[in-house]
Amino acid sequence: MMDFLSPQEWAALGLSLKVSLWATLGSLPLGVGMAWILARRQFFGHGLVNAAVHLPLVLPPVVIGYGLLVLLGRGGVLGGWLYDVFGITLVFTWKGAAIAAAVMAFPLMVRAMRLSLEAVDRGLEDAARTLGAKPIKVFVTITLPLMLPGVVTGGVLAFARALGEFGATITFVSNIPGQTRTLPLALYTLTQSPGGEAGAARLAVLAVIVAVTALMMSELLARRVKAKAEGHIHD
Amino acid sequence: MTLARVTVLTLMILAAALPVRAMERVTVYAAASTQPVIDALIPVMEQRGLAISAVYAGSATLARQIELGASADAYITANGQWMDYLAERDLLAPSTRRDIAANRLVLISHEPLPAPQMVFGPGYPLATILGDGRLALGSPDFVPAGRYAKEALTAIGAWDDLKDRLAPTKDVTGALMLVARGEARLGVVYLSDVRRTSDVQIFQIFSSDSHSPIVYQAAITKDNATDGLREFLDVLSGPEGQAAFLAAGFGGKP
Repeated sequence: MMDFLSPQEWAALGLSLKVSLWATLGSLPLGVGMAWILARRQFFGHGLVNAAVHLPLVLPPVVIGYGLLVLLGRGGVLGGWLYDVFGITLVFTWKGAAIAAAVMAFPLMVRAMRLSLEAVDRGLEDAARTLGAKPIKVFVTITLPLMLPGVVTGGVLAFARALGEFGATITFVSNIPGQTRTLPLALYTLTQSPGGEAGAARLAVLAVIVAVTALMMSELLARRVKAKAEGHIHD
Repeated sequence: MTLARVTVLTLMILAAALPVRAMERVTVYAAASTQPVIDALIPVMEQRGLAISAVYAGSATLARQIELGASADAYITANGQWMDYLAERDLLAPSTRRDIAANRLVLISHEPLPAPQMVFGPGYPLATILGDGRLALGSPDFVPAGRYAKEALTAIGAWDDLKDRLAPTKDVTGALMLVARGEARLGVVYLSDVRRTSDVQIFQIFSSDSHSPIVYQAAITKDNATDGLREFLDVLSGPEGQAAFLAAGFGGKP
């Protein structure tokens, strides 16, 4: 079984899982926060914030990758500061790949979360508040559990999108074997080499297996969470 | 509308359409680095009755697309290997393949760097100059410029020290961009690429015997060898084309 893939291909698979996992976990709290702001707050510039969140969905990924390079590269405004103050380098590292994947996946995550947040019965929140619960307690004990199916769905969508991320990644962190060469980049590399067809086909099958597994697990998880959330209310 | 008017109108439309119909329209798939030259030659060919629409991408991508049936009438590549690939699959018109230009490989930097007082060859302290920065190059796995770069760096004995400090990009333009933005301290690109931006400096030029010859080739694809296309290839390898290549920083055909 281990012979099915070469060591480099195993490395690409492991890296892809690591990058996607961190991209998803790291952006979950931000996603919940952004979904809450967009669903519950009315303010000047609401439409603009909403549009900005959706930019990675509509812009060519290469543009996002270039934007990240300009912003987070060592010569970038934010990247220069991160390096000078904390010694953190994002460009050409797997952390940078995770950030690129997170940014590209963020709109999908926020959309799913926002939908389920908007479906939450505000009467329940009001009831908790009239019983004396502080806003943060209302959010943690009422709102969050009720929107959990959307959080899970958003997380899984983001994970799946992160697994497939190519354009922003190769532009921002380049294609370094073992460090930033994720599954899609390894696949692309093989399609670009004469005689790389068999390897590319193997990695394509692998990508399908990983993606389908992730989606099936999410279905299962979402169903459980939903059942639990409903049971919670009916108790 | 009277019949006479309709007739006149029809004739006018036909007259307007005639020169267009006489124009031969072809699609040329060309390596991205040749864009300035081909763009300059398109008006020249138009005057001779050949309307070229050019598609620019990496040599590998284009070769794959041609293999899969893309409607390319001619192919221009920075790498003979991909031309061989198409020839082996019987996708080229016989005896249309030819050399059209050459190029050199250069080491570039974002800012002017102090150069050690020694010959650029074996023993040159590239790793020291690189410091904690990275060296951008087309991915040596598949980008022709990256392959040449690996050969050249190996020839001066620097490859083993540098191979873990690279930033491999998906085409040579990517490497140029990383150096131009100052994200990579050094980069290896073609000499002709340096003209595309004012944000890079030539640090060193690799000697042409440190890597395989960088030769650009052109060929007409199978069953498309029209007189117009043959003329285009003649222009590319003739005085006009050679002047255009030289003006864009390429070398003449070998």
